[in-house]
Amino acid sequence: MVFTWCLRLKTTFGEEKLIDMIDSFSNDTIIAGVFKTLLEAEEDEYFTVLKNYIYGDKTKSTLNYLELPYGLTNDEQIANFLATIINCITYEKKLYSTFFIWLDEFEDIDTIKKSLADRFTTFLRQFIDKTPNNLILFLNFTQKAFMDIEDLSIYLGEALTSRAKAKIDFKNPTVEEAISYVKELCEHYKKEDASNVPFDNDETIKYPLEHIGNLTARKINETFSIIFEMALLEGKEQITQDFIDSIKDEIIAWEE
Amino acid sequence: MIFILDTCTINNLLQVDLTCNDDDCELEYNYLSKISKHFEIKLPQKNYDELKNTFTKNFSDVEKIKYLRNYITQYIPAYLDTVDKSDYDSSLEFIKKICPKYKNEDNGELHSTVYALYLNRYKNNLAFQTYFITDDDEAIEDFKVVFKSNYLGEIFTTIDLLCILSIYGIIFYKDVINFAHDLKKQYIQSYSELMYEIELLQKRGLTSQESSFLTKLYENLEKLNFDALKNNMEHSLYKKIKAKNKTIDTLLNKLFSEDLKKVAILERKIKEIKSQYWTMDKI
Repeated sequence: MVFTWCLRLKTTFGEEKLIDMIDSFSNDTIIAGVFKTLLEAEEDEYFTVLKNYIYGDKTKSTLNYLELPYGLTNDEQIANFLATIINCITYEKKLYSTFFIWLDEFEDIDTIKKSLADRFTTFLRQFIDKTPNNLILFLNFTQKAFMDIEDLSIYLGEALTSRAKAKIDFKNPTVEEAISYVKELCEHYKKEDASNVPFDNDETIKYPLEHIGNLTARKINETFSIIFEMALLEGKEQITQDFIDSIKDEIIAWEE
Repeated sequence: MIFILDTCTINNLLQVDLTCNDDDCELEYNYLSKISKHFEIKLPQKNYDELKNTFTKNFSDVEKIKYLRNYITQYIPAYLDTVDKSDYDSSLEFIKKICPKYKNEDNGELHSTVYALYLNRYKNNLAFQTYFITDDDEAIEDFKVVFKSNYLGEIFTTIDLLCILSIYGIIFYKDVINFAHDLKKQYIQSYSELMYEIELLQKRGLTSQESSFLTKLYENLEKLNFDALKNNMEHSLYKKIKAKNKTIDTLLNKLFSEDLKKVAILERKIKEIKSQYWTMDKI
């Protein structure tokens, strides 16, 4: 992937301009060196060794192979590295218009050591500052007991919280939305010769959805997995409300 | 102002403040030292004895334990005083008489209250000199009347104490909020670990039913529905999950023995400070 980017960058901007861009975006001679060597590289093995280098391998053999004088020693260099890639490939929106990063389950930041959490948020701040344009960073945060959005801002610190431009609330789906979701999934996975979704009608899909409490994607997936598995076990061609009634005890999330 | 510190307060002030990088531990703010430079800290012998037996709670890290043991033996004795035994016993007898619940009990909270009375009435003829700092809500309920009716001072929580420090410019307001947040994190340590462990297990190869069962368990944990959790633990699927992952069972049982009410109290306190406590930016 990096190789393809390098090639496309060279073709789009020309080598001379690209080197200027790297010098200006990398903010670090070591990182600039990495990219310049990268531009010359053609072998797959080179990228494997480079990957190890990015992950912190600074053994003599790796440095010799890459013809680089030093290894990466701190988080800021990783921020410089990522920022250089993003700034180059989104430069004047010629190759890509925007780079998206989605960090899932960010609420689990409360399970790591404070020092590590601080280190990570410092890294994020540096990374965002070095990538002023064309980067959208999503921090996906699911509220849980004893941890709300205000706690998140404590973890992120003032510097990162003030850089957040938008807060998007994803509400749980309504029953109608959940029916569409189930039907879309069935459509996506159905065999070519299958005629329709395996339910006799929408009411049958609605039936369990109205009996599993608050609707989350996980709960819908698990509930319908159980229904499909039971239908397969019992060799049912079509799932009806009567069938769901007969296997209610197996549906763990079922609430009367 | 004399601050009589409860064992839980000292533990909270030390444990939340302790940071370790590799083998190198330090107290980031060293609150006790900061407090003692501006106010008087005192604690009865009973609290010191309790402290020596409880400071390892929440920690398994050998370096942290070693650091705190050294700190406690080196610095805490400075806050102890020799008391006149007969006067102290007389205070103890009086408090036990007016708080019959403590007739046969002997804990740090009781002794802190006794000590407050002793300092105000026996050692000096003073009023409103002592502030008992504790995060034990039961003790606050039990002894607040004693403090009020004897004009001893007040009972405050550790967060109140830090707010007072911020008023005196000893720490910043944001340090109070950060401390409260870190204290909450410590209170819910097992709870967070349990939630995380469930999420991790759900990413491994489980049957749909096992995964669905864990989702239910997770939901009941979120709702803090302990009766439902106890029922969940009787389910046949729980036994299967227990066979695959013992940590969930250990953490769940640990959670049953913990007092999560104090988390709710702390959350209320944080909200109160954020909305009611005077700071420049709220003007």
